[in-house]
Amino acid sequence: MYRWCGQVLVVAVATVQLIAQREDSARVVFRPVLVEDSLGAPVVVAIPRVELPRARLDQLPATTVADAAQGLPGVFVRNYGGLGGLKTISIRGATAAQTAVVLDGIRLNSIANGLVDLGQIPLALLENLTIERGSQSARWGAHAVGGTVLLSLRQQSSGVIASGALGAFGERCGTLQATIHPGNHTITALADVQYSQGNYPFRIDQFGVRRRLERTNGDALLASGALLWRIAGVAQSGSVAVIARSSQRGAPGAVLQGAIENTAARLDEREVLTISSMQFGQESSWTLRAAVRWFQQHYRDSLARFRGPSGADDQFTAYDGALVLEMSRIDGNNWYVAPAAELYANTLRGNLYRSGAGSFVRRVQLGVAAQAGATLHTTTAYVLGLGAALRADAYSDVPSALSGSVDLRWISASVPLALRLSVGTSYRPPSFNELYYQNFGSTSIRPERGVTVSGGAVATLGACSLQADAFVLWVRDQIIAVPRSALTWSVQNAGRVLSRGVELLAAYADGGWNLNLSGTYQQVTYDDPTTFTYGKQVIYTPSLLGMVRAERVFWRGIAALVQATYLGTRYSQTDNAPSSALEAVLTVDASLRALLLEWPVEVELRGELLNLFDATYAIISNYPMPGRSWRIRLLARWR
Amino acid sequence: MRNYVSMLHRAAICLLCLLWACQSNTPTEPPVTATPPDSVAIIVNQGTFGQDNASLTRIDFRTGQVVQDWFAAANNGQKLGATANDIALKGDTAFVTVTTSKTIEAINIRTGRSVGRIQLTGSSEPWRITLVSPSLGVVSTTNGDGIALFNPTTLTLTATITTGPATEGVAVIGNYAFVANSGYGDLRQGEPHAGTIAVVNLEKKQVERYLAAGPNVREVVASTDGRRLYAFYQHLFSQPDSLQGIIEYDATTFQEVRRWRLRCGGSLQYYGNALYALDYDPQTYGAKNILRFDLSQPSSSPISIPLPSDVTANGFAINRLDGTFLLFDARDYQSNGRVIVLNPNGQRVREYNCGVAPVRAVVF
Repeated sequence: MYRWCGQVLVVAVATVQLIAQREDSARVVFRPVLVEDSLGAPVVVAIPRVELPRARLDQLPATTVADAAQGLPGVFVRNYGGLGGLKTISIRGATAAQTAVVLDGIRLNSIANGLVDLGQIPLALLENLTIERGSQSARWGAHAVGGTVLLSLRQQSSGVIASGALGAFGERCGTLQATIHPGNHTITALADVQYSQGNYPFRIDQFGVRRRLERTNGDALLASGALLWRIAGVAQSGSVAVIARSSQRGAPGAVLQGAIENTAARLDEREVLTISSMQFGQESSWTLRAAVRWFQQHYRDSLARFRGPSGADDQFTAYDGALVLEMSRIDGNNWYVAPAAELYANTLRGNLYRSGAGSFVRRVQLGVAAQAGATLHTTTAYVLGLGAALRADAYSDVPSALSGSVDLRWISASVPLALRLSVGTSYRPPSFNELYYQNFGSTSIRPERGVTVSGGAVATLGACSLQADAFVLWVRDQIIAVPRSALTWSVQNAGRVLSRGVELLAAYADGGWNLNLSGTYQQVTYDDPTTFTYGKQVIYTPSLLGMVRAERVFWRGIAALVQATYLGTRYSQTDNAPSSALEAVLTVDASLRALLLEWPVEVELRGELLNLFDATYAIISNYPMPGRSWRIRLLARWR
Repeated sequence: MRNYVSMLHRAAICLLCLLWACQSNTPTEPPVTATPPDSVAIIVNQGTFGQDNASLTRIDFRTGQVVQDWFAAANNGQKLGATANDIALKGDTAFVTVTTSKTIEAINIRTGRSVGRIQLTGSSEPWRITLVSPSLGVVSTTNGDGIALFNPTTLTLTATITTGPATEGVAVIGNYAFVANSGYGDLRQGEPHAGTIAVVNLEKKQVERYLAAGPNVREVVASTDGRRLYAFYQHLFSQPDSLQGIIEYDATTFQEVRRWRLRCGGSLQYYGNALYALDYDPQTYGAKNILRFDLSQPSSSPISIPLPSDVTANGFAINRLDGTFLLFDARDYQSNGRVIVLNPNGQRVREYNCGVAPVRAVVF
């Protein structure tokens, strides 16, 4: 109750300040002092973010969202290895389920476990990848505790693009997309297939003998397709996107002494997602988004004998629906308010839900939100802007949540410098697994809550741009799994986590050079003083993350890219026992691309070397990562 | 006469030493015991599932010396394996079941050196172990749904016997092995023989009968005289308000003698004509007491021996030489644990750090 009162008070004060400042302009066009990741948006945003537009994504030695996000400030990609291995994003030390993943305004986080496997989203589908850091549930709703991954679907102007790739360990990739413009319509069809045998070698000690083994059951076939239709009218515009995805892959487990787990485990997924949006009203000022998703997951493991003589055979089917209405902005002289409402409905039918809940569970969520912005002060020397957001979410099965955020921006008009400060609250509702999963879930679980305070500076100097931010993130009621026997674990709201750190992003782009440097130093620690882990580093959260990327464009479209990614020491035990430390690792990737033909078809050849120096490492203990590998890509564009 | 005086002097010195030893009761000081053989414990630390971090901790009670990951220290850094669960002694050799690694590791208890390894295959993962004779050892093979017989001297497997779904506890009385077919609670409760105790004729290597027990029967122990068998069954996780309990069987007639239905936990121990078990709260799964059942009484209610409140009990062992408890504190199961020595009244005597999730021990 006190917390709610506090949030209401914060927003009320902010609102009063907004109303008190009516005389200035509502929409300030900020001086473009920031170039994010060398190509980003020319405005200063209150929330630290990195944006990777299509042109940038095309240059990276990456095939999935998880690959592209690696090394960005505050981002740690938890990667279980191989094309089919689970890949999730942790932002600012928060868990993967505490990261909202939003595709064209629709949250994608699974109702089953709160996660999105970003290794399953091919970059070919996307026009833009943006990562926001900070608690932003007031803006994006549930899960936006550590940050938010914002994805935008492809917006190709016209033409046909085809690409194919061959790589190590049986990798084969192919993408085909075509766009036509009949009238004021734009129709894009896109298909992407990725396959890998995943049998990469690694080294491991087996009873005192160093052995070289191959990853078994690591094969993966990911197929995605999308049909995008857009219409741009005078009074109305809209779009419909139908995305279908199917994957069949092995789900290999930990590589242990004397045993490799899950050597027969298979995971099949099928998904159809339809997202439509419509802008209507005067000057298309209202936006209505609607999404329907069908998702089916089938897990089989004939060797999981603890589940019975024939092993495990679990499947669940989820139906999700979402309606998001972004209403017309209410503008004043120097302020605006933008209300929004959303309705999400989720159902899940599966065969491992506890008795009492049955095999079918559902959730309905209704949210109302408002964002506001104002220019508090404008002089010839600087602009001072304020933003605020408030959101209330009511759930059918878990406690409701109120979220708020306030941000302040100071932008110099004389020097290319901007300062920003933001405070935001956030929450994550328990997933269905955490609530109902047999032998695991508990219906008494409460939502996790988070608060972020973030402040930073943005500056440019010639061809250089710089972002530096510091943050503190508190999370309480964190849902953690606690073992209750050698075989069964159950969840509790037992965790409190304090994360604080600094993030740096520098970019230089000039004379054919494109340099990027990002680094994160963070302390992510358990924060319950009554426990013995108080002050210890949270498992699998490195203190130091860094990435250096250099790209040089030579003559005739020949370009070389080298990137080094550093992952600091992390622990697999909560007491940070030295024996549980996973050593820091530096991996280097390189690519070389050349434009072979410019007309009538643009043909580009690219060679990539990943993990150039063959570093032996695992991001998650006992899940070995591939050593040195290669990929050759050929891409053709018909404009 | 001189010898008599000398003996008196020696006795006085011994008495003084004993008194001195009795004074050293602060928790930080190592205990001084009157029985030097009661000096060393080897603790089995389960490790975390999927982490390959099972280990042994060697504690010398006389000197207070603790060697963490003793097996690795004695074997050039070689890891014990993934998820260790039990230990048994034969002479100067300890046999440790390493469940996920599917090995039974034979270790010289004086040096910590590995003297051999029995590698199981397929779904057979060794769980509980008991040594019957120099030529016969029995291990339950959870997921293998049975038991494996092995020769502790030659370190060879001799037979496997299917007994029922998800075998956990095993005890041997005479020619019979009693095997708990837990069915893993809810997961396999519908399968034939789930919730029973298989009675295996070790000579014929076949199951002779099944004793009705209760859902999720997980542990069996034999009385020292071999006349009684005790089994612990646990409620189904899907029904946390259901009862669980302990059953006493006549080991010769295989008839149920009596049954205690109460909310107790596992880690069943038989010692001194009494039965001991952890008293778990079925909601929080925290153990608050050790329950002591006096078996000399025809119908006895258990006596509660309170445990320290800051402990996540993952089991306990009884030091049969002095009657103290070794309480295994797993903390959060994801960090190194502790062994807390309690006197028979449950008072903390001292504690030692150990590896992740300590679960079993031998003291010699």
